[in-house]
Amino acid sequence: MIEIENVTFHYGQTPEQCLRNFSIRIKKGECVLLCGESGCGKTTVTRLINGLIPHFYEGKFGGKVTVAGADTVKTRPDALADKVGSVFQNPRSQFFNLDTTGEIAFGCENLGLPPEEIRRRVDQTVSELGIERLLDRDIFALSGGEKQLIAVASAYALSPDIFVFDEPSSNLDWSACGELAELISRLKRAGKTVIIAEYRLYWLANLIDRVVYMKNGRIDGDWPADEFLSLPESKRTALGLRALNPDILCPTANALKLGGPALRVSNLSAYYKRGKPVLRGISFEASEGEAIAVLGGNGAGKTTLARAICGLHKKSTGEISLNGTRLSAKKRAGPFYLIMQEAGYQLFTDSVEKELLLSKNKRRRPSPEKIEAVLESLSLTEVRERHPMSLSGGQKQRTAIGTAMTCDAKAIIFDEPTSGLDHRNMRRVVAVIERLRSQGRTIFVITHDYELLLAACTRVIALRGGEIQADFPLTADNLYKVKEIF
Amino acid sequence: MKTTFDPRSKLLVLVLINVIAFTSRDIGTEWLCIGAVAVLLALTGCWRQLFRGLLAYAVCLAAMYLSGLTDNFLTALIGMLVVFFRKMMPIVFFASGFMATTKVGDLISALQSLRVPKVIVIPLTVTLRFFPTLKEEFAYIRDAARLRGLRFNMERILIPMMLRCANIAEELSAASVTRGIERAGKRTSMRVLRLKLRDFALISVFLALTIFAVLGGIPLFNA
Repeated sequence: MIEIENVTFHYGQTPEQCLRNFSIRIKKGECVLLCGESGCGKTTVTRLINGLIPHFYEGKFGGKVTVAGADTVKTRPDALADKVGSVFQNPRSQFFNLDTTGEIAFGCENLGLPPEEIRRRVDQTVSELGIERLLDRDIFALSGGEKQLIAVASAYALSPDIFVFDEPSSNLDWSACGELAELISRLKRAGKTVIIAEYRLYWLANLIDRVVYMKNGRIDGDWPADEFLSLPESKRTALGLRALNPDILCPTANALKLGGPALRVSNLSAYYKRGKPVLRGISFEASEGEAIAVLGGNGAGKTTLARAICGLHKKSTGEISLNGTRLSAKKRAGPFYLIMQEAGYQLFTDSVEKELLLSKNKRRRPSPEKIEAVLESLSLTEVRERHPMSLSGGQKQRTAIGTAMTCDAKAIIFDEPTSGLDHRNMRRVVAVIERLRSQGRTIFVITHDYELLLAACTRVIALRGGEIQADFPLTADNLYKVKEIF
Repeated sequence: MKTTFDPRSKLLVLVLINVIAFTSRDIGTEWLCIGAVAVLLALTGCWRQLFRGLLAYAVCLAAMYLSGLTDNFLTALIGMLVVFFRKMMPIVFFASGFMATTKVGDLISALQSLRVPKVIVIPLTVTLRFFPTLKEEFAYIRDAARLRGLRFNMERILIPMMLRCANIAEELSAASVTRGIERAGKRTSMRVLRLKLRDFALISVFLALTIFAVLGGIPLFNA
């Protein structure tokens, strides 16, 4: 079905080769997982298959790719559209239409199918994928998981034999991963060939037939699924991969707590313009050095809680105090800091160093020694002159953390800090969180990432329907409670 | 029951309303036009747009009245601005309903059936799709600025906006390329567009209003 022979590729001006003499054959009906650390080239392989390389992403290309009998160099991507369906990482940026039905029909319309055929295909797609409930909805009002289901449906309507997924779970919570897995198993049953480049592995364990491990643009391991699944844990970690079976993991963050309660939230509620409150009567205390995981499904109020604590959510009531002093919403921005999931929003200047110097109060500019220390501790010294645009995702995130450190944030909230990160980069985030804790800061982590939760957090606050459902220390004995929430 | 109209007739009405707004000299014709748009929005179920539009128009009228009470340079200037806004109101009013009731796919096929070339249609529709995204992006960046205690101005927004929009634009085009957007042949549409009796009724009403406006409107109301 797919033959990639001796492909070498590097993007545009970058000197380093992204793929080196890469060859693989994938049979019809196979479900293949492409894995490996960030930058190993797995996304590039998906782009070879759907023709985006060499037609959309330019670079130096050598070798031969044959997909469903077509040579991708000679075939334009629009001629591949009904052979290969693609689902991408970011659910927010793969839609052309504003309504779901229009989006499912979009590919068929582009290919000029007759209207009655398009309607038939849309009906068939939603019934075969079991997503009738998502018809005729506003795409911007869907959750990330629902958007990914629509992306699959939109590709499915063109009835391709091959589906490629590029890190489809990056923005999905635990239950949305389950729904996506169910959809992929339907694709498998329909005899489709499925290729998935992923960093989170557990949700795919029962789906895959074959696992291809990549390193530095080459294949470094190729196992049948059952053989891969029986690799020892130590081997998996050595490969830099995420957990396959999260059930065997244990909490490992040190239970350090400095002093008594420093931060007190009492009776915090938050509202939107109309309707019910999104948060109701949230009260808790937190000590310096604690790392608190905030858990809950979509719509539980996690992000609203973060915004309300930082004083960003205007319509909120309740009291928040730090070391006994009550802080108004305006005074909270600064002492309370939020590291957003997409750190690109938080960088306002044209170099890392200027970013750290930027402060609202010119007289309270951080001292050069302090900047040096912060750069050093976040391993940003080498990139201090670089423009934020040229930084990697992890570097942007660390720069944002650096701004929190220079403005002396007492409590730092991380919103999904490890989405899309491989094992090594996740460990880096854990190490940064540990350092921040040892400096006496209180850390909150909003996350769907079970591995991160166990590695970094000492306490769990679970939200449900805008209220605190559970609040307990994270210990091996309490693990069953976490599993109930996930 | 909501009534729907063919996007082509809505596009034509948009042109007619522009003609009315720029030719009508009397407020009477403008009121008729606002009234007709209001009825149209009610028929198509755009209650929120209807309410907001009428409120905005009422504010314009009130401001115009107030600026007429005193007589100095500043109020005259404000008065002129308000009259300008008021004259634009029928267009904005109709456009808000148009945006709310027209699906992107339908708009593309309407424009194509009017033989508008693809190089214009595709960027135009991408722009429409980008508005809600921009709104979301703005909200995030505003939050980020507030966290740092930074004032939120255009210069500040520039870098984060650049960082984000470059990504989104690239991802969006990659996704639509894999769905065959670049194919050269004729594009089809799931819904077949057909002009119905109600479309002709809609066009007739606004055509009559346009002729009325061009001919000079209602002399009694000359303002």
